[in-house]
Amino acid sequence: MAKTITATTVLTKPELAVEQLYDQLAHGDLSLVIFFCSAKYDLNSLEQSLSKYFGSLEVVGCTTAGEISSTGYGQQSIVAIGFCTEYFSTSVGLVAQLDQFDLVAAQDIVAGLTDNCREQAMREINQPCSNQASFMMTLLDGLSSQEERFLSILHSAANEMPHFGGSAADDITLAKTHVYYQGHFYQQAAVVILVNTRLAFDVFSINHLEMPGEKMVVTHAQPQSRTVFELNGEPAALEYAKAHNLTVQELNPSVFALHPVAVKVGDRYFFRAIQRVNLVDNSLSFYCAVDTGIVLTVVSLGDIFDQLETKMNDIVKRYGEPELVLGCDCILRKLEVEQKKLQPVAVQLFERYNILGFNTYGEHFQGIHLNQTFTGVFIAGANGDK
Amino acid sequence: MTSEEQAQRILQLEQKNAKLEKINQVLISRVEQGGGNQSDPYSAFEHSVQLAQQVRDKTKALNETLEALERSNLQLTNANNQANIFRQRFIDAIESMSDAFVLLDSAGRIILQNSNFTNFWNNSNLAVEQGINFKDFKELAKNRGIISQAYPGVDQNSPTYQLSDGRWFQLNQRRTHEGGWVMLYSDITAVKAAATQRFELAMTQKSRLLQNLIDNLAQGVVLLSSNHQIEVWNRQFSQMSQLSQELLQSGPALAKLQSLTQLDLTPNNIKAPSFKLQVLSTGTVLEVREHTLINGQLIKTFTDVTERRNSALALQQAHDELEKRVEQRTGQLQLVNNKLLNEIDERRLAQADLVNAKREAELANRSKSKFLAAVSHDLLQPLNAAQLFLGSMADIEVKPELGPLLAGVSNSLIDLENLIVGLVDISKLDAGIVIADPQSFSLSLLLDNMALEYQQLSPKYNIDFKYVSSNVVVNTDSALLARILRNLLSNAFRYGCQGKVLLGVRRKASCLTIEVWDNGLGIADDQLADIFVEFKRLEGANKAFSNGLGLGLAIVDKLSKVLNHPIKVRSTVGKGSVFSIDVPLGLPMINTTDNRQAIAMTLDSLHKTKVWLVDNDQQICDAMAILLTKWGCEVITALTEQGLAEQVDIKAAAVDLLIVDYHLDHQITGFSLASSINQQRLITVPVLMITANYSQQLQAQMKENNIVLLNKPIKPMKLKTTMLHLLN
Repeated sequence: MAKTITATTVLTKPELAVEQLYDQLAHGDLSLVIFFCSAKYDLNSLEQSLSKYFGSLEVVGCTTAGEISSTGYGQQSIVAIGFCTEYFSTSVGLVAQLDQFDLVAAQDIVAGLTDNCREQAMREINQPCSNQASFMMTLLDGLSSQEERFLSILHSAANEMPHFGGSAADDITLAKTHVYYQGHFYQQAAVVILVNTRLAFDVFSINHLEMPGEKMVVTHAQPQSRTVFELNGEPAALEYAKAHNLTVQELNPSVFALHPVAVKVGDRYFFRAIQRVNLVDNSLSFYCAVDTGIVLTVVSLGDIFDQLETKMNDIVKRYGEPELVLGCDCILRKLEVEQKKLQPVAVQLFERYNILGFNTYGEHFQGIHLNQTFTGVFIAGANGDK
Repeated sequence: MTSEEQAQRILQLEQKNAKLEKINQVLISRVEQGGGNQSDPYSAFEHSVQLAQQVRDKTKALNETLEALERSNLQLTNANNQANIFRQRFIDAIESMSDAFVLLDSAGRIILQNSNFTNFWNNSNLAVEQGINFKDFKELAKNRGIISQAYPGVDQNSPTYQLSDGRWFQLNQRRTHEGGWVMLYSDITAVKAAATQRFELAMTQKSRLLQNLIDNLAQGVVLLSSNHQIEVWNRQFSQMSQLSQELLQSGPALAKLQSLTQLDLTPNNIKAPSFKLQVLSTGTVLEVREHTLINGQLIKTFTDVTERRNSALALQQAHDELEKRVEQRTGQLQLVNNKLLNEIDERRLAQADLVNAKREAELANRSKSKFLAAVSHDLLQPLNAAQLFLGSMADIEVKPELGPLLAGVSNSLIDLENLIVGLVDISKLDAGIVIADPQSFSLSLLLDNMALEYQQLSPKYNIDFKYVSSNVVVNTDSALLARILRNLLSNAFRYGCQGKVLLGVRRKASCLTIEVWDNGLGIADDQLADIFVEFKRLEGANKAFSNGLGLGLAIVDKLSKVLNHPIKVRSTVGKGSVFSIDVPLGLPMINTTDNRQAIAMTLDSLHKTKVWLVDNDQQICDAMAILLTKWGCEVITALTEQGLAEQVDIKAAAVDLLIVDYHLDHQITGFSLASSINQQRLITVPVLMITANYSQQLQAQMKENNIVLLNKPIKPMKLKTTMLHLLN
């Protein structure tokens, strides 16, 4: 009895691609399909094809900066995962206006999703739908700067249910990020997925931050646009370049990937991923929240896959072999892998643990918005004992 | 530093300062903001991080608690389950019992009961349930009269109850750990009923058995109760008393019964162990006995002794008759006895006569032997002398016409000797006084000498004599064997007809056969037996032997019987004969002295041999002296020891040989003389004893004392060889 069904396609024509996906997925009684597609696809055609083939089946998804499967990092492809009703009861919801999202709304949506899930559970699986057996996944349109706020509110309303997710991306164009819900692609929106399963699972997040170094104080920033103008009183770009012995001209996403900065909250460091240099004023735009007065630390990187492998091993020890690992991998990590030519390692890892997912512009974990991490859910093959 | 440089430096410093101030300011405002409102993206970020941390901590604690709770919950559930299982098992167990079970606490209240228990009380219309104090309940039961009887039971723990409705129960109870009681009521009604039934059945059987037993008795038996009622009787009694079974069964009074029967039924009449005899009108005699039992019951037995009585009378009669017959017989026997006694006396007399006769015969025998011994000695003495004289003449030059005369005389003497010896031997053998003394010795010792002898004679009789030696050891009397062989050889020479004679030995498995072959006239078959008869002589005897008495083979025959060596003869007329004697083999002797060596004499002459001769016959002395002197010896003769002593210094004089006769005057034996002489001497002298005594005793004695014996009559040749032998 299949628990999850995975499907991939590299066909560029939406119609054919979807057809191929459907062929692979149409073998079980599915409660939900999640897909990650390259932003290069004609989204309208894709919309139509998806409706045509999957019809009434619940399908959600988003655009990516790359697709992750057992073949490694894919570029112009679609990865889809089907969840069988025998093991999963799911319910999905859309939050259209992110800026108007408040706690009440959050509670509403969480309640609605929970009820839905429970009903399904009773009907289909005939088991109680408890918080411990459920996790939440979020797919956000990543270019909105409301992410932090949204996630925080949603997570608190969700009563500490395990949560993860990723921000939709595109291939550095930074203009075509979408989420998909009930037949349409949306921007400036979020898809919330509630999954209840009797299989054991663990939500995780790892980064490969190694050593903190030089400190830089943000002396002037604009939170709404996630822009830092000054670092230590100097123009941000210049100061950044100086810190890494580079020129501003040399700065590009690959460089950002290899020379990251982080903030320290509590006693932990969190990457702050730089999106681009604004040459007009030598300011730096970020993929995440920034503010005046925060302290950026230059950090060194460890082995990019080491932490991930260790985490996977740990979870395997506790829950056994994985059925599926859904992963949201930051774009900057992909850039680093490409730079360091570590694709074979990636392939090995993805194959070993059956990791599927997509490259994001940001990751969500327990209501926190993160950068430069690998975040996901490890769904075990065996039942959970909770 | 120049002022420009200084200015630049100041500018740099001012710039740096401005920067630092800015940094300072933003940091201060940040710190003072202290997290800010959540609508701020960064604040929201910070907040969510902190929240996440808190959540993490809380979750951890919660999880731990939950786990512990779950564990103890599980344990509790398990324990509960176990308890339930056990409880259920227990209930199942007590339900499965067929007995009524009740468990009481220390106060006597019912904790647990099984359905049998409940039903029991329900049947008695008393409801019993948990919590009711059982003691009270029992009181109630008693009052209601449910229990009719209680028996304490074998051990205090198992009393038995009989209920008013006839049921029986046995109670087994014991205390529990907590001071309560466990009580088990077993319905034993069935058991009891079964037991009673069995008992009754057994009793009935026993009665029946007993009745059978007494019915089969030959005696009539009746048992009267202590109040004189007939209780038990048997068939025999019924018959004897002529009282019918039905009458007896109806249990009438004793008086009535007595009136109906001849049998004496009155009790206490007879003192046991004695008995009374009762004769009925039918002539039957009954022996009546009584036994009183401890409980006052009385057993009377009636035994029909008619037969016995008759037998006794008949026996008495027979006894009387027998006595009469015995008397008769005794008388007869007495007569016979007397007759026998007479006979015995006669016999005894006869026996005495016989004994006398035997004694006389023995005496006669003894005197005969004495006579023979005397005869042989006295006869042989002069003969011996004559021969010796003749012997000494042998080498003397004489007138030619004397030669044949001397030869004739010599031959006659030899014949005479043979005759006498032969007669004496036969007589001895007939008297049975010749006893064989077998020893083991090498045959060659005997045969070689003998052969040599006859070798000497062979030219005289023109016989070609051949001898095959053998050194086989045989076990026999050498002297007697020698006699036999001598006789055989002489015969062979006599009847040899100037032919060949062979003396040889044939080895057989268990014995040795000595054979004497001749190729003379031979003996016809029908005469083979005869030749052994005394005084029988066959034709064709050699003239030289024609004067024999024919005793030779008779002696051989008798000697062979004494020795127990069978003699055989085979003969063909005209061809010849062979006489053979079987001699048993002896164990080889350890003594290896080869006597043949002795025969090979180193000394072949008696020259200058000093000889002392003592003989009570002067003639013998003279004759011997002449003979010995002829041989070159220096001879001193004497009749007695004193005579010798007068002539020589017995103690010290040199002497080579002492020859002494056994029979000397004055009852002195040659042996004692020789001993005496040798005792006196420092250097002992070898002794040669001459005697006519052929007895075994003497031979043995001489042998013992290493004295060589030479039998009379002495043949000169033999004497010489013996002397040579002794002196070597």
